[in-house]
Amino acid sequence: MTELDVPVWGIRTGTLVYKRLCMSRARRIFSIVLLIFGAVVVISSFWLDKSFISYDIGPAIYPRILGVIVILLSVMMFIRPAQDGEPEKIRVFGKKFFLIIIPMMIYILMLKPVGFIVSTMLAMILMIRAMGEKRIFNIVLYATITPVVLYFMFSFLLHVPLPKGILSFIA
Amino acid sequence: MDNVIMGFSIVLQFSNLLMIIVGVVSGIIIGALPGLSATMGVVLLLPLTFSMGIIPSLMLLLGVYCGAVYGGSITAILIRTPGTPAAAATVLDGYEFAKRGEGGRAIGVSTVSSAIGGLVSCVALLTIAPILSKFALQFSAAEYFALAVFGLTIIGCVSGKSVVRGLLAGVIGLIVATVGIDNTSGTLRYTMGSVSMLSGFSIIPAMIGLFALPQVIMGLEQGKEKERVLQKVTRVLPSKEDFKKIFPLSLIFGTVGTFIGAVPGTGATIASFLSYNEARRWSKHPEKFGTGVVEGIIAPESANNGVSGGALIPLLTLGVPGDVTTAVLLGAFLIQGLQAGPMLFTEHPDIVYSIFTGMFVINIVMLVAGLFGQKIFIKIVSMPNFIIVPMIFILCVVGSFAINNSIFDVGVMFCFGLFGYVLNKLEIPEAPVVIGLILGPLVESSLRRALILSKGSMMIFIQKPISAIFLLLSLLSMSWPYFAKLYKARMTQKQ
Repeated sequence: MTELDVPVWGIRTGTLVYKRLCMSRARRIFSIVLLIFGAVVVISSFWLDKSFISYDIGPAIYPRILGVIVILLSVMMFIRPAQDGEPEKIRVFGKKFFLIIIPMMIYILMLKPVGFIVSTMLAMILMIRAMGEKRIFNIVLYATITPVVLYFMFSFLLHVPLPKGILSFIA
Repeated sequence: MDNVIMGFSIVLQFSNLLMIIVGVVSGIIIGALPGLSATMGVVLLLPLTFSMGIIPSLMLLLGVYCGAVYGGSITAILIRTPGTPAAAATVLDGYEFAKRGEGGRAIGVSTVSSAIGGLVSCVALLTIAPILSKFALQFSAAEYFALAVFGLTIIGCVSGKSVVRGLLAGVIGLIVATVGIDNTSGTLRYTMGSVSMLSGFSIIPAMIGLFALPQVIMGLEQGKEKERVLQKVTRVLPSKEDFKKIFPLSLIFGTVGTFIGAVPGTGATIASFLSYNEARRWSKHPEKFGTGVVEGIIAPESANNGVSGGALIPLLTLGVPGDVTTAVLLGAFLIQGLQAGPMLFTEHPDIVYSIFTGMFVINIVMLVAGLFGQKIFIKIVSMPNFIIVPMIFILCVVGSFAINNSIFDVGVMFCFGLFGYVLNKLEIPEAPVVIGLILGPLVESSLRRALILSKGSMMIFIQKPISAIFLLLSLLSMSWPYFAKLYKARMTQKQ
């Protein structure tokens, strides 16, 4: 797959020249994903209704055009030749990526049942720890101040009640 | 004139003035903190302004915008890390000052030229915008379509390394904007049967996700960072000799910045680099640039603050944002149920003129805060990363929740954040996605209205001169990199 060459219009020579394809596998995978996305947009637009206004192109044509553009551009991204100084490999998901986003997801799901203050305290402790801070005093201090201040700021100053959860006994 | 006096009388009310001060000060801090850009600052503070009226809300956000663009220069000068991308050009000469122990002088120069650049753009805004808005009243659907397409292609072409990737990002934004009820016919599109999606994705959570969450994830991945040690700054007020250089140069480059800002899609980063290069080209001693000359600070700093007023011109007169940050500001209008555009001038002159006069006050406040508040800013900017990164995450969550009191919106923020993270790693710019999201409804409705008017003939976009010009310009900007390459190849062949 990496040894593919693409024909490019050579500016200097005025003829077709063959250049090495962009090496980054991540980018190629992403362009395939976008190609499929564009195709889904185009195909599903055929199920949309026609407009009853005369001369209106209707709700389907516009997304269909966009879908076609996405398909064209993703093909262009796929067959783009490698450029000088471009990194050969792009690592999209870092080692810790899933270790970071899974707790984030759990935190968001916890917000309603457990409540803002308690779940935010837990999330803050984890995150400050992950940032490499070891002093317990600092961790506890910031993990308590942030949720409490934000809670009261949003509830009383901005009139946005944040979920109370298990602390629903406070007024 | 009456309108200007009315504007000042609104802006100088205690609550509005307070918002300006809070906005400018927090903007400077946000801008100075590396990793937090002006756009991110406005996005994160936007949810806090829901319950305020439109004017105090805009004063706060505009204050953050102008403050952050200036604030980026503080860290650019002191620790060689631009607080915002717009301050990257300031590093070149600014840091040389800090190395010599003249950090205070550099910051002073940057403060005064930023304020002058900002004030120049205010004058331009005040004089050009009302005229342009009368002109824009004649715009029909075809012109709006062409203008929106132009804005999208420009941002797609200039915001990244590759035109294809930039345009791709813009079109993805347009597609995402089609989710929900179609405004013209009332048909449901791509809602996948979910009630929460009826009105489409909420724009604010999507913007918070795209701009702020990737920074949080990358910050957490990186973990502990070296502590930022900022040089102590003594005298900030520029000397007489420096002032003599600041005035003419910042007037010129403030104007340059204003015009760059007024072009939809371009922004402060481009303006500052372009101005730095021009200042060097026109200087009598171009070789001294990069060794710490005041001109190297004045040019980019006055230009990037000049952008602020310039970028508001298309936003207010046409409803098309001038740069990414003003695109987010457009979100503030939408939340309050207001449509930015020429009608705003006739229907809400109070809002328009408070923005004009507010911008003057903001730049004055910025000047005062920059000259006398440096010690406080430097202290806050020395704050360790382990507090900042987690707090931004919590603000992302609370902010996206606060808009509709819904966890669904937090989920939207999270998904867009992951998408933004992937885009970031693949070097696909996220700004065009946001512009596409925001301009999407305008692009579609103006396209369809124009075609209804012309009874289905595409010729309407070419027959109308203004729309033809904008479409031609977007074609040019798309093919520009190719021509540039061709030109370079020719030049090297000749040699």
